[in-house]
This record gives sequence, C-alpha cells and structure tokens, in this order.
Amino acid sequence: MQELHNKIKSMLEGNSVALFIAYQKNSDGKITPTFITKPEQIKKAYYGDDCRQNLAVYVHKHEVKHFGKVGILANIYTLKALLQIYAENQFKDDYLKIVTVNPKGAVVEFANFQEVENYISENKPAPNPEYVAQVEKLSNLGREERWNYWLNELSTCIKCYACRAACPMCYCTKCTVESNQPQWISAPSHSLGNIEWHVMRAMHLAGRCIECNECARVCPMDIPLNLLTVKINEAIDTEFGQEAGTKGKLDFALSTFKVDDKENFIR
Amino acid sequence: MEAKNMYIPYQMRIEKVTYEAPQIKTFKLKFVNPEDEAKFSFKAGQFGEYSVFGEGESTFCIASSPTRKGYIECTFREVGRVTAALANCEEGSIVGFRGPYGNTFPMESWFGKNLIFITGGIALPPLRCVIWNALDWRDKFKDITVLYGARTVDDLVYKHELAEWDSRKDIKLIQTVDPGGNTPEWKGEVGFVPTILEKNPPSSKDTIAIVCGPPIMIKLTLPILMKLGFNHEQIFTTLENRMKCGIGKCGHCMVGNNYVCKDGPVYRYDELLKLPLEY
Amino acid sequence: MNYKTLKTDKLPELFDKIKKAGKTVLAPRKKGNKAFFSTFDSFDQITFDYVQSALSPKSVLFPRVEELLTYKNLDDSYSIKEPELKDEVVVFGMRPCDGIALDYLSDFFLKENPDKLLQDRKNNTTFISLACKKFDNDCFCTSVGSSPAETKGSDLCFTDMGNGSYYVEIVTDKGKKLVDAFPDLFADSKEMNKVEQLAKVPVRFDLKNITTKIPTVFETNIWLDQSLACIGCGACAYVCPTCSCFDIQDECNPKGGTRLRCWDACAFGQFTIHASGHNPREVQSNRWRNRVQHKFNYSVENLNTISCVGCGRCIRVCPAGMSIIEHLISVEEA
Repeated sequence: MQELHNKIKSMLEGNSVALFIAYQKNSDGKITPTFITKPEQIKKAYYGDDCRQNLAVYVHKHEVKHFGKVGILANIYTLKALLQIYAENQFKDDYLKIVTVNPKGAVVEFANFQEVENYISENKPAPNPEYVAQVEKLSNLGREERWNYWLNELSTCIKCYACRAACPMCYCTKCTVESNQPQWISAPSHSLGNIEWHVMRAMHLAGRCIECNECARVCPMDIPLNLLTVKINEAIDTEFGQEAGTKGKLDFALSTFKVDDKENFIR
Repeated sequence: MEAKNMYIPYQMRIEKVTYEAPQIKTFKLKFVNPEDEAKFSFKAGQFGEYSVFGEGESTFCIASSPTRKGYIECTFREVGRVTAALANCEEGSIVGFRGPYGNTFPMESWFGKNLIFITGGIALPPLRCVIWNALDWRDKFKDITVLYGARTVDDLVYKHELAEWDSRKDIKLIQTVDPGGNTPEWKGEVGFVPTILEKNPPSSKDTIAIVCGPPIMIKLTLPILMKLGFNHEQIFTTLENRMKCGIGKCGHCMVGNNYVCKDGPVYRYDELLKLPLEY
Repeated sequence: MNYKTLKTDKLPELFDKIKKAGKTVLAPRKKGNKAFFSTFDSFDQITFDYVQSALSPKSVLFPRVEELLTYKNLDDSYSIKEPELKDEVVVFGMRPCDGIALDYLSDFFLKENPDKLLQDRKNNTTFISLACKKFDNDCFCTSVGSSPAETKGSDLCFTDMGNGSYYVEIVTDKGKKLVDAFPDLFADSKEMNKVEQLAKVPVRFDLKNITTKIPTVFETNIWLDQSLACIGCGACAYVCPTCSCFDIQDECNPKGGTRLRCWDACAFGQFTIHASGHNPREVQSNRWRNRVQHKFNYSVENLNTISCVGCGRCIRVCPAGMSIIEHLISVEEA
C-alpha cells in the first residue's frame, strides 16, 4: 500500500487533486469507499482484488464535482466505465486524475484517456466462470421458459433503484422513470412496473454497459440483473463492432446515423 | 378514533370554470352526493387534494370562504400532469376532492384588529378565502387592506373580484404590477410588492399582516414589516411543500419534525423561524 | 404473560394446521445468502440459518404496493370501491427487534388519522418472533434500547432452548388465540430463563448522548462527510422496518382504474421537488441528514421514540457499505 499512499500524498500535496476517492478496508473486512481530502486520511487507502464497488458512480455526484479536481483509484471495471463516460462527452478536461494498481502491483497514474484506453486493451478482465455458466444456462432455455424466468425474478423487485444508483452509466439527471408527463414507466413495484423498468434500463444500457456486475451485487433481492444486458451487448459487438468501455472516441452505433445505413426511415 | 380509508375522495361536479389569467383557472365545485355536502365544513387556510381519476392528485387551498355554503372553489395554475388534466376538464365533469386538511388561520384571535394582506400572483387564492371570510364577518375587524401584485396586468387573478373590492368602501385595495407589466389603461401601481408596501406603509399597531407569495417576495417583505414595528407574532404566512397524502403520513412535506400538511400550512412567523430551511 | 413450550419437531405440524385453518404462513426462505419471508410448500424449504431477514416484516402490514381504491367509469360519475382485506396471515421467524418496529409503525399509522388498511392487516396478522441465538457486526439492537430478549411488538415469542423445545411467550391476546387453537401441540410452562440461549449483542454507542447531540449538529459539515459515499438509492429505506414514506399513483384503463400506495424514500432526489422545480433538499447530504435526523430527533419529538431498532438491514444492504452505527458514533464524537 505504501506506493499507493505515496502517490495519493503527492497528488494532494501537489494540488493536482482536492479530493481522492479510494477504497478502505474496515476492521470487519468490509470494503467501503473513502474520500480523502486531508493527508492524515491517506493511510486508510487500500487496494486489493476484493475492491469490487465501481467508484466511477461518484464522478457524476454534485458534491464530488464541487471539489474541482478529483483523483480516483480505479479497478479495471472503473477504468472501462470512466473511458465510456469520457467517450460520451461527460467530462471536463481537467476534472479527473485516474490511478490504478496494475496486476504486478505497481501504481499507475494515467496522463490522459488514451493511456486508459491502451491499458484496458492490454488488461482485459477474465470472464467470471460463474457468470459465464449463468449466461449459458439462460441461453439454453426456450423463449417461453426464459420469459417466465425473468417474470418470476423481476416480480420480487422492490424498485429501490440501487441498480440504477450503483451503475456508473446511469447518470441522467432526470431518469425516465421520474417523468410523469407521460408516466413512461409505472412507478409502483408491481410485476408490470418492474418489467417495464428493467427492460427500459437494459435498452438504455445497450452497448453502454461495461458489465461490472454492480447491479447484481447491490440488488437487495438478489436478482441477477447483470444478465439482462449480456446478449444486447453481444449483439452490438457482433453487428457494429463496438464494445463498451474500450474506446475514448465513439460514434455510438445506436446514436450515429450514416447516409448508407440500411434503414431508410430517416430519408 | 375509528380507522378510515382516508384516501377515498368526494366526487365533485365542476359547476363553473373561470379563466383567471394565462394558465390559471378557478373551478366552482359542488358535491355530487348531498350527504357529503351536509357533513362538510372547513375553516380559512385549509386545503384539499383535488384529483382527476386516473391521473393523480394535486394540492391546492380551498379558495372560497367557509362562510359560503354549498360549494367550494379552487384556483390552480397548469404546471404538471394533474393540473394539465384538470385544466382539460369541462363544466359538468367530475373531479375528486379530499379534505379539508391542515391547520387554519386563527381568525378569532384577530377580532378587533386591522388586517393587511400582502400577496402576489398565484398566492392570492389561499388568502382570498380569508379575505372573503373577513368581509363576511366585517364588523369583527377594523381596517382591511389588500396589497396584491402580479407580473403583468394579465396575470392578476380574480379580476372581477378585485374590481369589486376596489369599489367597496370597507376594504382598501392596492394593486400593482411589476415594472413593464402595466398597460396604457392600467390605473394601479407599478412596482414590486415590497416597494409598494414601503410606499403605503401600514401601521403596526393592532395590525395583523398575512403574507403569502413567492419566496423572493416574502424575503423582501418581512424586513419591511420588521422596520415598521411589526413583531413576529403579528405576521402569518402559509408554507407550500410537495404533498401527497395531506394527512401527515407520506413524509413528502416534512420540514424538520413538522408536517406542513398537518402542522401547517399556516404558520405564524415566530413558528416558521424554528423550522430548518427545507421548504 | 403466559408461557408454553412447543417441541421443535412439532413446528411443521403447527404450520400445516395453521394453513389448514385457512391462513397463510410466511417463514424465512433462502435465496442465495439472504433470507426472505415467503410462503412455502414444504417445511424443509424454510431456513433457520440467518441472522436477520433481508426485507423486514413491515411489508405484511404496509406492502410495497397496495390499492387504496378502485374505480369504474360510469355514464356521469364514478363508482368507487374500497379494498376489503380479509387474508389471515401468520408470520414466523421475525426477530425481536422487528417487533419494536411493528409497534412503531402501528403508532405512526394508527394514533392520528388511523389508517384502515394497516389496521385491517394488523387485525388479521399474527407475528411470531424467533429470538436471536447469533448476531453479526451490523446488529446494534442493544444500543437503541432493545435486545434479543425483547417481546414487545410480537404476538408470540419463540426461543429455541437447545433441548428440542421452543420456549413460547404469549405476549398478546392474538398470540393466545393462536396457541389456544392447537392445545395438543403447546404444553403449559413456567417462566424460563431464556437469556442464556440468546445472542449477547455488544453496545456500540450511548443513545442518550446521540439524541441530545443530534439536534445541535444540524448545520455542521458532518452530513457532507458521512454522505459523500451515498449514491442516492432507496435501499436503506425499503429494507428498514420503520420507514413509512409512500407515494400515491393513479393507474387507469378505458373502463376505470386504481389509486395505488407504494413505497417512497426521502433519499431519492425528487422526493421533495416542487412543481416549480424548486427542491428544498437539493443535495444528497441534505437528504442523508434528513434521514438520520428523522430517526433520532424528529420521531422523538413527534412520537416520543427513536425510529431505529438496530436491526442492521440498512448496513447490510447499502451498496456503498455505509454504516449508521459509524455515523451515529461520529455524531457522538462531533
């Protein structure tokens, strides 16, 4: 941890950041985010394979932006999220300083998002075997069976929106579900309202979801929400060659229109 | 007290729709069920939840005086889903009404005093109830003054009633519009409400000030009243906050430990000062 | 208080008999690592391997979505119908702290403007708590005036005495009615010492210090510090056994419709927003402050009690690992 602490110290003291977002490990082993603004807080900073929360959610937060210059300790999924958010033009140039700890344990500070992009292409996360097995099992179900599986799972949703809050790609200041003219998505957590919400969110994440699995981790009802975007992401990769969180410059397939697009509805 | 389903509304028929100002309408509502009407009563300052079945509920004061029986009136501005649905309702259609909710203006404690109402724009409706109530109890009060302003002449609500109050001898009406909001025919004042208040300063002796308006108007009016010698116990206002249930359960309107729907919406200024600024 | 015993191997029979009498039985079932109150087909689907259920039993009295009324479009008006709540339910396996929470919810909904829907559900539900033999780091019932020995708020309190028997404390008339319905299963008992069987939960803070201090730190920076990690979901409010805020939503079709009550949370950004766009609690730190102040200050002023029972669900569910225990300690030390 010493190298990490030294890096944070030099960033705070050199005024390149006013706030550094990292992880801390508590006495009971729980990992939580920590917000370092003073040198005496640096010793709490921790990094390990057990650091799962995607800290990229904090970069959208009003109180965090208020600090002006912010540093963030990123695991591979946080890096993918930040790169995707950058590709979606959500960052002012000098807002973020990104630091990671590479597989060899060395602390790396990225000078720019191109370096983040290069790092990601060289350090693709290995697929989680449990996750792969779940996807395979679902894929092998018939259409009717798969629909019933989701009807059943989603009926338990309590509409707490932890999935939305924990997702770094859900940063709309007014979520579709908060609109009531018209009420696109029913607010109450009856079965229909739940399906509307999750299907809508999956569609809004199509090709943008970086598959960090936070949504499933945070769900109080243990619904495997991370499985909802897998096939859509695969489809976008197959059809358009785009994978979320890999490029800093993006003509996003679902929001870019070219004259030679095969659909003629806009001609 | 026996448990009741507090969310079943009265069915009210819209007897009259009055266009007051751009996007502002008044409904005169009568109870569909005469038994409901016979049991119903309210006091000045109370509000209700008005609904369009299928769209939702919205909170407005009861703008008519409790001294007038057989109907209630509400005035609202079209700003969102429910008010848009209400604005689309025609005379003869049914809307829902739950109420009366909230506390009341302690009018009995004002007997023998002067009353000055200071208000602007869409904030006149909650006070219109009190003004008509006071006029219906006219001999209980000394001088009654209304200082009412709006952005433009068009935005003044209750134009016919303003004309009536203007012509009455037992109430003094000062109307004003914001600079630039006047028309060539405008005979009233031109200037923001706090400015016009300074121009027509009321005496603080034996006077109750009832102030209702947008936050900026209240912010600028209160220091003027203080300067004129009003103390906190002489000033009343009403708070608005997002409301849903109207009966102190859903939590939306809470300010500190107060439910604006239950412990308010009427607040005396010294009570208001005890609350955190979360309204 | 009356006391009984029930042999632990008779519990399946008790549930069967209750179900045969036409009632629904809800007991904890596992999904992954979490226990949820659920109906069950066979006794072996029930789990006893949990410190605390993931969702609280409040949803039996105050469901996450329920009908307030339904209406039909008539020619000239509407025909409005109130729901009739007749289902009889027995909830088994809640913890003693949940009993205190149910009492709080009852006070809140029934003291003033009593809510018929909650009253009807309460009349029809019997709550059986199962006293805690273990606890985890997120439990803090003893810090907020409760303990695994608590019986208030339960209709019956079961303690596994480790000798093949449950010690049954009959707390209310409703509990007595259930026990009296199955005289062949419950044996009379003297008062027993159950404390030895129960988890010993350490006290983490001085509640009196906190409730005294909390109004005084309203305008300080501790709320920003504590809430930087908060991502603004409603999970803590929804799993909390005392949180009671709700929304009202209309849903309709060409023939009529329904007015629904559904859970809401003060943590959400739009909870306090006005039609004008003005938001009295614009930033998350104000919303966080409101949550803690409500539970440890406002509810004391309004109902003479704090509205936190130390069940720890909010800590377990928080995506950012926030801990109300730590936050209260930091208020104490502020």
